[in-house]
Formats: sequence, structure tokens, C-alpha cells
Amino acid sequence: MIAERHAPKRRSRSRATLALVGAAMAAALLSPAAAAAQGPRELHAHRNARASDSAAASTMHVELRQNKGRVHVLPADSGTLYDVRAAYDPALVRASTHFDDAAHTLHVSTASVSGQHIFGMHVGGTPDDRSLERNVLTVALPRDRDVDLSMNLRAGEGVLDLGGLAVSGASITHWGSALTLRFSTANRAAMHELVLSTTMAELNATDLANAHAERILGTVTAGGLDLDFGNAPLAADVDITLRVLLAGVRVAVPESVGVRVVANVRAGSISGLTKRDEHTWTSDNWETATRKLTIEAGITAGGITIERVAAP
Amino acid sequence: MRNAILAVAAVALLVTAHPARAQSVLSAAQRDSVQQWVNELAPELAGAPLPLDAATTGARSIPAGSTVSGDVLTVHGTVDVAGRVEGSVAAIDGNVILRASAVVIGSALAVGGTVVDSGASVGGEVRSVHASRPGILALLNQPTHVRPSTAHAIGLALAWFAILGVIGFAVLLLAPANLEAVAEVISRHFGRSFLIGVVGQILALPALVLLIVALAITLIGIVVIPLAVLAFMLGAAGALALGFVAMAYANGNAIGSARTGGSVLVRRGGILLTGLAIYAGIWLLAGAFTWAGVVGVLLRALASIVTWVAVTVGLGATISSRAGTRRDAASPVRELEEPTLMAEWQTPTPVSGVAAARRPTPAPGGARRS
Repeated sequence: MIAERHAPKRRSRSRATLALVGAAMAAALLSPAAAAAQGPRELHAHRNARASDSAAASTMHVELRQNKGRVHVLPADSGTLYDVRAAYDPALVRASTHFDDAAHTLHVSTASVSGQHIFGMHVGGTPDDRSLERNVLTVALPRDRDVDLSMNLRAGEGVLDLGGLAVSGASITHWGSALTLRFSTANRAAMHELVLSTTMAELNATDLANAHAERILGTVTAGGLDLDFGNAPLAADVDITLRVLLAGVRVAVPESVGVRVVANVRAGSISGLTKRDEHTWTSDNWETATRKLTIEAGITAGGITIERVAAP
Repeated sequence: MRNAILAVAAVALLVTAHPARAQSVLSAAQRDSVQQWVNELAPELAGAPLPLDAATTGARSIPAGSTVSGDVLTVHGTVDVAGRVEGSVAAIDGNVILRASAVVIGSALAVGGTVVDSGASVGGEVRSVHASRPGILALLNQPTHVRPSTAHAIGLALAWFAILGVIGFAVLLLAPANLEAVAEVISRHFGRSFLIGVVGQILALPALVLLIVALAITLIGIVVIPLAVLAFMLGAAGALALGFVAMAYANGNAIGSARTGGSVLVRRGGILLTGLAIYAGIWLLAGAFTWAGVVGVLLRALASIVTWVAVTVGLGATISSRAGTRRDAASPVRELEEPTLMAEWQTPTPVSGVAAARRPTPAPGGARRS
């Protein structure tokens, strides 16, 4: 029976069907793996503030990493040290949270598990609208502790609503994402430094007058940065250092605030200020203004636009 | 009567004195299954204490006024805490209910469930992880005298038998010539097919790397690398599957199980199922002895070796016959049989003229092939 012969015409037909059969066989072989696919996962962790009374006087450090999803940071309910909620697809990311009592540090992360690395290059697993919907991280932080926030957002969307918190420092790095940083109410602590690093992304920082940041460091590469100081009077002078590469920065400042930009511009521009002296641009009211905002910038193929808004 | 009252009182005393010890302890197999799930959830459970050795199964209740010294961990059940726990409380595949009167010195954790906090005092973190738990519920619901891993192994063997049966019948229906050609190569060149299969397995990864490097040279090639990798993996999976099915077909044919009656498809199907049943039988045997410790391990090792040899030989035959499309790879002897058979009844007619040759009449039941 094995030696049954078939006409050449039938052989060629068999070749054609072989490809289909091969695909069907492969699909069938892969079916156990597909059957083992898991559903959505949720992680909820919270801790009452009274459990850490001994550490009440120290600053709480927050290390936050979010991949391929949405993140929302906001103030927690009274009496809560932290409240972390993650809803995600384990086929895309894995969520993890851990509070280090000794270091008084909260670690929250979602690590990407999709896609492949070929010769060091990440292929596949590109985030889309579905991944943004399927991977949502919400982190609520205490109102009555100084918080030092370090955040890294990759390929996602984020809203940091830090109004009402006592943020003593913040370092925000994001890549390939859209992020909004907001201080809708006054920061309850003096922020020694606000570091913003944006790569191939858009960062919109609003109500910055409420941030009470003594210094702002911004690095923008192939993206956009929007710094809005228009909502409240500045409590103190502000120094901003910017490194701009293939990007645009918009700074919205009340008319009453004096503005000076000292910039090394290579293929770029500074706009919105009338006076210029070599590498220095100043506003008309620089000498007379009671509050001053100084920008020191290095610009390569980009620009800074100073936009005047009505005084609050 | 007095004895009965004393007995009831003693039982009541025991229950109230040890409110957390009224459950059964996890069996080793159950603990392994739970541990596997916990390991899978390692990121979500980072820093959470889960001493599985102390775990019990079923619901647990710690009533108000009672105290448990140490951790409370239960599997497949709800923990209802109204009293004091001088450690952490955890439920795997269950909820943790913390009443307002509850005091937990450590943390509260629910895996595959929710921590419901009604205002309890919890010293540590309260964490809930909602995650699907494949198979764990079925395993825990089985009677304790049945080893879940044995049932799992048997079920796995049957499932693969069914899958390969479907694949085999698909090949029989759509590409019977290819299947028979590969099977014929296996029958005639077993050793050569095995060697080719081993070489094919060794060279598979370098070939994939070479393909990627070749594509990476050009800009367009870089774009199609993911597709090429997918096509390569599908092709490899197809070759392995076709080879194994052909090997089973050859085995079934070798033990002469073909029925004489029925259609060609039915006869071929019988051969294929017989061959597949050989391998399924080996794995079923190994699975049935999963409980038997070393014997089970040895049987599984034997089944793995037999299956690997079968897959390797099948792969080698698939490669050498180009998935059954190269007919001369099977047997040049077979090709030579046809002229001989044709010559049996042909008599050359001289040009000078001879009376027409007489065609020989085949003897009944003779060796002529139909």
C-alpha cells in the first residue's frame, strides 16, 4: 500500500496543499500553548499610614516604572500610606509592588513580557489602544508625608496629579509616551528639584507655580515639553535648565514675571522675548519684576517659545 | 451521661483553643501544584510571606477573642478573621475577610481572591491578586488518594493522541502521497533518516540565525525578519509533525494492522491510528506510573527517548524526501520494478513477421500486482 503510485498532476496538487497542511499542523501543535493563555490580572495593595508611624518623620521614596499602559498618580485617602491598583494583561506586562520598610521606599513596576529581542533589538509588542486599555496602573500616595518620586514611563500614557501631596523631589523620565504633570493645588513641601526627561514623547506640565520647585531640569529629545506657570503667583524665583535636541519647548509665564533666557542655540530659535544681547534674551520687565524666571538652555535643532499669559 | 458531657466539653475546648487547626494539611502533590502557581505569580507576590509547608486546605475561621500565634495560610478556602493573628494571614484560591474586631500583626494577602477589610487593624500590607489559576481547582477537588499528577499525565497523553490523530487524518485527506512517501523513506532508510534528523535538529538554530543575518544585510530584509522567523518556525513545526505522523504510519503498517475491507481511507486511517496508539500507549503507561517514584521517572525517560527517536527519524525522512515530494528518495528499487512487470507479458515482434504473440494468462493468485 505504501508503494501506491500517483500521477504527477496529483503530486503537484499535493505540494500545494502541503503548505496548508503544514500551517494547520503547526496551529494544532501550538494549540496547547494558546489554551494556556491567561485572562486579565489585577493587583491591589495598600497599607495604612499608622502602620509606619515610626517612619512618619522621614521622606517616603517612590520608585515607579510603567510599561505599555496608562498610569495615574494621585493623593491617597487620609490615613493611607499607599494604595496601588494594577489591572493588566499578563501576556503584555507583569505588575509588581513592594514596600521596603528599611529604606521607606515603595517600588511599583510593570515589566514588559511581550515582544522579542533579536540582536538586542526589541521586535513586536508595540503598544496600541488595546494595550493602553488593558494595562492601567493607579498609585495613590500619602498626603501627610514628604514624597520623593522617581518615575519612568515607557510607551504609554500618564497623568500625575500631584496637587495636595508633599513632593520634596521628583524625577520623571518618559519615552514614547504622553504625560501630563499637574499641581492642581499647592505642593505641601518645598521641592528642591524637578527633573523632566522626555524622549520621543510629549510632556505637558501645568500649574507649575503650585509645584514650589526651586529648580527645574529638563531634557527634551525629539519631542515636546510644555511648562505652564500661569495658574498661581510664583512663591519664589525659578531657575530652569533645558537641553533641547530636535524638539520644541513652550513656557507659559504670567506677564508680571520677568523672564531671561541664556541659550547656546545651534540651528534653533528663541521666541516671545523682545530684548536680545548675544546669547541672552530678556523680557521688558526683567529689571522691575518682583518674581523672575531664568532659563539656561542648550538648543540643537529646536526652539523655546515664551508665551505670556494673564496674571492669576 | 456525665461522660458524654465531658466529651462534648473537651471537643469544645479543643476547637476554641486551636481555632486554626481544624483543617486538613496539603498533600505533597497539592503543595507542588500550589507552589507552581505561586512561582508563576512571583512578581505579583514579591515580598509576600507564603509558608506553604504550614498551609491547610478549606475554609478557616478565627473567631473574636481567639488568638493564633504565627501565620495563617489556607488553600482553596476563605479565611474569616475576627480575632487576633500574631503573624500574617493569607488565602490562596480564596478570600480573606477581616472583621472590624480583627487584629493582624503582619500582612493580609489573597491570591486568586480578595481581601475584604471591614476596618481591621493590619500592621503590614493588604494585598489582593486576582489571577486565573489553570487547573488548580480541579486538582484540589480530587480525592486525596488519587495523585493529581498521575491523572494530569494520563490526560496529557490522551490529549496529544487526539491532537496528533486530527493532524494525521488531515494529512491523509489532503496529502496522502506525501505521507506515504515519507513513510516509505522511513521504512527503507531508517538509519539514514535518523542521522539526517539529528543533523537537521543541530543545524536548525544556526540556519535560523543565518537567515536573520542574511535578511539583516538589506533594509527591506530587516523589515521581513519577524515574518521570516515565523515562517521558519511554522515550517519546522510542520516538518516535525509530518515526520512524526509518517513515523506512526510506518509503524502501524509494519505491524500489519491494515484491514482488508473498507475504503482506502479507512484502511489507511486504521494504520495511522495503530501507529499513534503505540506512542500514546507508551506515554499512557509512563503517565499511569507517575505515582511510582523512580519507576515513573524511568518510564517517562524511556517514553521521551522513544518519542525523540521517532520525531528525529520522521524529520530526517521529511527532509530527505523534501516533505514527500521527492519520489526517488524512497526507493530506486521500486522504480525498477515497473519495466520488469511490463516485460512479463510483452513479446517482441520480429520485423520479418511472426504470428502475433500470445499474451500469457496469469495464474490464479499469482504474483502479479494489481
